[in-house]
Amino acid sequence: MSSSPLPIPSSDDVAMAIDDELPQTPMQDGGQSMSQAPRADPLFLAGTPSTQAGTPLRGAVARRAVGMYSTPRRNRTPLFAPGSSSPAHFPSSSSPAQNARRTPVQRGSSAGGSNMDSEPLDFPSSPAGLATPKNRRGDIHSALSLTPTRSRTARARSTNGNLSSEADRNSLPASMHPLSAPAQATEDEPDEIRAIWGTTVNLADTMKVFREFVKGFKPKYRIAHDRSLGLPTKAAASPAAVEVLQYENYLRRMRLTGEANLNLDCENLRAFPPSRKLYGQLVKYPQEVIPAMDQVLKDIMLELAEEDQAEGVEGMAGQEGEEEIAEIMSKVYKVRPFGLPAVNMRSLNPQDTDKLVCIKGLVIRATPVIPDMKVAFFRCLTCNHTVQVEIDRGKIDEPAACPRDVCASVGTMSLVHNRCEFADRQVIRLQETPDAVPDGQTPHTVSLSAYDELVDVSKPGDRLVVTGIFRSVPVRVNPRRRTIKSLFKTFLDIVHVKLGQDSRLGFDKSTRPAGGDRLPGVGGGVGEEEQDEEEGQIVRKAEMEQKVKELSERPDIYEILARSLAPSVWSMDDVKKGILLQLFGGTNKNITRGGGGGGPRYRGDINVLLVGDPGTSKSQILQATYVHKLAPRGVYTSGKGSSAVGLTAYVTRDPDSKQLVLESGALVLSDGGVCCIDEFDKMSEATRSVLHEVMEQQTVSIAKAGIITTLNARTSVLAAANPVGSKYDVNLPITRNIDLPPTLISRFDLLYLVLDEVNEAIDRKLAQHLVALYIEDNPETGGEDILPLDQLSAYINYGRSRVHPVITEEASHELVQSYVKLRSVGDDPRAAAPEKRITATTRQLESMIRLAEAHARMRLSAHVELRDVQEAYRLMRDAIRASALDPTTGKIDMGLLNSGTGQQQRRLREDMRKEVLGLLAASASAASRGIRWADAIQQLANQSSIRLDAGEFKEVISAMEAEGLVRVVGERERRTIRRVDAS
Amino acid sequence: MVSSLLSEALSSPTDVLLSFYDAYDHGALDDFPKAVAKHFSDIFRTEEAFSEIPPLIPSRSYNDRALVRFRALVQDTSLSPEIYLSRLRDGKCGGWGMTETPQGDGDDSDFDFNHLRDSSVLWAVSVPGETEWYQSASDGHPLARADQHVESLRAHKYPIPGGTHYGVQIKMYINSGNDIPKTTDVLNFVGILSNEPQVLHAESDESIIVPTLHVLFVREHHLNIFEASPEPFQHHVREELLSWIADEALGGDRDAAEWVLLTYVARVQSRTRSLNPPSLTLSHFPSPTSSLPPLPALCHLLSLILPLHVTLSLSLDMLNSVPFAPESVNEDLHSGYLQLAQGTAVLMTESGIQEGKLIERGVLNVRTIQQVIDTQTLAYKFPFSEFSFPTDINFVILAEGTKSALFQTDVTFPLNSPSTSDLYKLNSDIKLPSIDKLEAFRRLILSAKAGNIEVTEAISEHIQEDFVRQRKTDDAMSPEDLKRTITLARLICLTMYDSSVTVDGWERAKELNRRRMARFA
Repeated sequence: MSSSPLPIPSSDDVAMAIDDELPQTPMQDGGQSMSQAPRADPLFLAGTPSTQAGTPLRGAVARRAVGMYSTPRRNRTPLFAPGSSSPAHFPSSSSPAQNARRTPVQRGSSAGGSNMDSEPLDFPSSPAGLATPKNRRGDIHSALSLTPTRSRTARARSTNGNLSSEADRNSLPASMHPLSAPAQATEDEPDEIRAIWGTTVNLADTMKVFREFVKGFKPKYRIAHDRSLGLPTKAAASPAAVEVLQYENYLRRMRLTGEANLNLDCENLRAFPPSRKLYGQLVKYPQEVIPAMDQVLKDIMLELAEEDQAEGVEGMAGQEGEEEIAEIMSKVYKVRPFGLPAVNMRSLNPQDTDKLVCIKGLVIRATPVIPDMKVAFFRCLTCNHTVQVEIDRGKIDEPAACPRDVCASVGTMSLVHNRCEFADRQVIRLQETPDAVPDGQTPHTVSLSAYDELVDVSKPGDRLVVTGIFRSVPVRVNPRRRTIKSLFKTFLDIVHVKLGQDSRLGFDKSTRPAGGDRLPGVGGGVGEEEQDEEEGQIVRKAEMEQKVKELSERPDIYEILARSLAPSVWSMDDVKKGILLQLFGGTNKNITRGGGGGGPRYRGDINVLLVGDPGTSKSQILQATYVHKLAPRGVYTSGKGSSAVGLTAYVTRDPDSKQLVLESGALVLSDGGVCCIDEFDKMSEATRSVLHEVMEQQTVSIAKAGIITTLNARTSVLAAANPVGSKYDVNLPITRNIDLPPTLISRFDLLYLVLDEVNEAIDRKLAQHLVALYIEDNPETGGEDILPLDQLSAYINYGRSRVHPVITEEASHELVQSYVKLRSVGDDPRAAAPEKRITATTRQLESMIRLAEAHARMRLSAHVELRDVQEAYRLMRDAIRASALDPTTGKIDMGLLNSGTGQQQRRLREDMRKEVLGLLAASASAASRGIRWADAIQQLANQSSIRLDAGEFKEVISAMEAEGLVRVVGERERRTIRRVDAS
Repeated sequence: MVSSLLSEALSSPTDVLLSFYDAYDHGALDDFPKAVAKHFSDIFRTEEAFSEIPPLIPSRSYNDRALVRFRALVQDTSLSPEIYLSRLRDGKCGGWGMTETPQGDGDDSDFDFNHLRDSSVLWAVSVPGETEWYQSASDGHPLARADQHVESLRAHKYPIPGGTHYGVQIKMYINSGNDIPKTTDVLNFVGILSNEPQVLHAESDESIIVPTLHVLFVREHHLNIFEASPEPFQHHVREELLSWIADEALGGDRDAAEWVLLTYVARVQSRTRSLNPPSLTLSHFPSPTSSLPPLPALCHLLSLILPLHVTLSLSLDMLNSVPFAPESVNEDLHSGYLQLAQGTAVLMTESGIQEGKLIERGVLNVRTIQQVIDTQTLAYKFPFSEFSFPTDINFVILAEGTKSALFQTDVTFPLNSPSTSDLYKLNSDIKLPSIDKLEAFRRLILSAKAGNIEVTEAISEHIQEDFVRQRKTDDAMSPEDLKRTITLARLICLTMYDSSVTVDGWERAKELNRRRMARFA
């Protein structure tokens, strides 16, 4: 803002000065800008008072902000002087280039940042200067000061331009540099040395190209571009869809929504042939190119608005349109480029200073909003002359002496706080994500500065893809020390931020609420699916995808994946396959027509239980090395001493052994991931009941401090359990072998018995495998062809996140068939009287659907086909055969799993019951004292041809007791069974 | 000529650096740090020359910009790299803590971006658990006597709370990309020592002055400091070692001594195949009575023969309060008990554990320890994420009951001990073997720890046959047993200086395991 020569500058004076000079500006404009002139005039008049109003307001805000330090201010608009971009400010590049016109323009862009210590006389374009605050973007700083100074000479030159000697101003405006410079430099010449504004980047060209881009870009260019790079492209909805003017539409949308930020996908710049060059310029000289783009954006916004007004588009007619245009005029438009390939933050080095870079990371901390001084306001204590100084590289050069020749007193300039301008700023610490950190290293952290709208967009814990300008600034040195160490600190000024998802920890997105991103800006980015392709590392990603797809085409992919799952675990192919499918998972199904946000939800998670002998690598499969590492949000825990919630444990003395034992710990359930639980059978009752809920309803209810809440726990469970005895007794049904309630067992889709069978051939192979592990440099691991962990992980994640298979007609038919087949296994044609054993229930049908879906996912197929169902059926059948086989009959009986007792067992019990009653009746006459427990067993055993199980007997008696038929008296050895109705 | 360079480098390394810079071809400025490393490591190539560099030890004072060497554990690599001016405005050498006198106005914005370089910044501490004899053997004198207490800056960055140590900010100027040292690496840093501020908080510029080592060159450190054994393996040394451990610390239980020895010479064999060192619980190890010293004699013995040894006397209080895994707090990586160098032998005693409650931290600590025992990876906690780092630590747990109250180990061995007084002794009551003998013990352990051994085709055939045979007769041998026995056989052969696993070793391993099983009966 210019100060008047009057002793006490008042805003009125400023206004007057502006009024006086206003006509100049539009006058200079030729071409189409002329058309704005009449409108611009009243606008400026209207705008000027608000400039005055704005200043104190700004002051007040600043005071408040300074005083309270952290007051967040949302509405930033007043900070930028209304009318900040006068039409003259940047020329519309489409109009014929005129040198005369360019002068103020350039001044606006490049000299605007310099000291505006001006007396109206020697600064003829002071209104332009006033209006210049243009885009005072925190992320960009002013154009000139941020020129990448590569050499001292260049630096000196620009400094020269900054020092506003009158002669310099008048005869050779600073802005002339860029104009004169290009003449000396050819386009191809590497510009490292003379990268001063303009050596290769001709501003007018840049603006022209960008204008062309905005007005001409159509989605078809991007599609062609992606194709040429071999990237997957999405089929357009209609031929017309690829022909729309994408950015004009965005601009209209911006006008409708009042949005002032345009997100610009840099890849689109590359895709549009005329603007290809712009990409490189943008990356190298963001601080010059971005403001130019901002200006073009605003110009086009205005043009569009006028066009629409002229055409009488709805909402733009007449007065409405006027207001709309006025509003556009008053706004600061910002282009926010994104879509550069992300680099590792470790590889950022000083050579990247002042370039546009893109990094990914995790927000670990964010400061409160900091008022950031943009323009300092100084007043000479002697003559009251005022000077405004813009921030330059985070520093403000305090004038040493009053710049007025008449005064020139040294050390009299003092800062007037409430006339300074402040902007919102926030410092964010971004940490490397686990996938980006080199092996064995701790994560690094960089500072980010967020400005204006981007403040408070991200919160600690968010994963971000940040596009920004890399800065190196000297560390403030202690002025009292004579010697200094030339140290610098680096940070990133954010121009664009995208909330990203981590590719490896890609939790199931269907478990998350849609939307929720609060990023400003229109175009690209939020809510547009195509942008999912972004994430920066397009090329690497494409390679990965390519690789994944190639893999998926291999006929033996299923085997390869299964083999890679746990290479050091020998054999157990079916188990590995089951777990593999678990990792892929079925699709979650919501019945959306329910009340409120979706009706019942059908889980797609597959639960797997491994039961078997100790020492059979069960734990190995579960342990961190494999599933837990592969699975998204995998959690490994031991059932012993685990509780679902709460995180405390007790060391107590075991009453039996008098030893110290650890009781209950924590079972942290992973929402949207896989939870591996070892020693599942050792889990406490309370935890089990929680698991019931987790595995079917997929929620956890927690009662704490009188409040019951239900948390989502959409997790698949991979559990391992040991048999009750030290070894699995193959003569007993599974329910007797593991100490788990049948209701819980039935919630597992797949149940595998992992038995340690003695078999010479197998033993030999096993020993071979194990010994081979110890032979150095000979990693013979169950097969030659295995995928490394990261590829496997990438594959699974890709399948999980991208493939949502739909069941085909054929497959659904096969599902029904298979289910019927599975059920009919229960029919025994040899039995004279058909007795119904249950071999499959609807639960098994659901499991089969999930498995088939998972199998289709594994093939990266969009449809569940016949073979998926067939494999699902095979896995189910084998698993059922192993787990639900009643060893006494050799038949499958799901009743074993569902209720704990099989058909055969029920029949046996019935027989036993009859016999017991018979015994009691026989003994009743002898003495009414009943029959002793041991005697009863003895007598029954004598009668029976098959072995009598003491446990079974107990079950029968307690059932009879419950019925009120018998009564058991006495303890332990002296137990006697009495008939109740006998007395 | 060389010797004068040597003495100059020892007395004023900065001058040597500056003159080297002046003589250096400035066109290849990017390679200058590498050239510096080569220049200086050439000067100190020989062992004699290297040992002349004063080691960095607490309780000693150093001149500013003195040349020192520091055998240190890399504790924290998450510090942000530092950007420095590699060529100062006066054309002098930048970096290595060089300063310049600003010309007049002190305008520090006038610099050339092309001369900016970055240096890696690390935090390194004295190697935790280094035993006195090991320090003397490698430095010529011990780090510090136990009774000396030295206040350390930033003590939370040392794994053992309250431990005497030196913590130093390390600045490395070689741009080695991703090959910068990893945490828990033990390296010999040689460089110029000065005091420099370390920024504590990125936003606030708040900093403290910490000792800083500007690295000239780095020399690797190998655990086995002895040269190859001059005399051939003497069988009796191993026997004597076992007898000594058994008699002095384990109440004469030789099998227990062998298990302890084998556990401590093991190391991670293969991470991809998860061949981790076995962990051992010595059960039935009685608690000390009040009249006895609190630490078992085993601790003292181990510190006489092992290079790196840490005793953790577990108690609920300790588990609940002290972190075991490193944790990043306000972007400062605090250390934890288990941030130990590779090859550290940990002895955990459970005698201090009483009935009581473990709070969240305690539960997490128990889990952390168990994770290290099982997988030899330690998860460092960072905000919103955890990073697992490989460890190579041996665990022996002394438990009172039939098994450890808190942890599961690969092997549980019930101790046959007649009385507690045999197990708990004062340091002075331990009978020391002769110096030569002790030296032979140490050589045996270090060479076994560092040694490699192969499993030949013939022996693997033998093992397979044996396994199949055993399974036929008695199916007690599970695949896990097989793995354990092979590991054991390897370790036994390593302690016998064998170059490959022998049938004898295999038989001994089986026998050892059989005797162990017999104790449970």
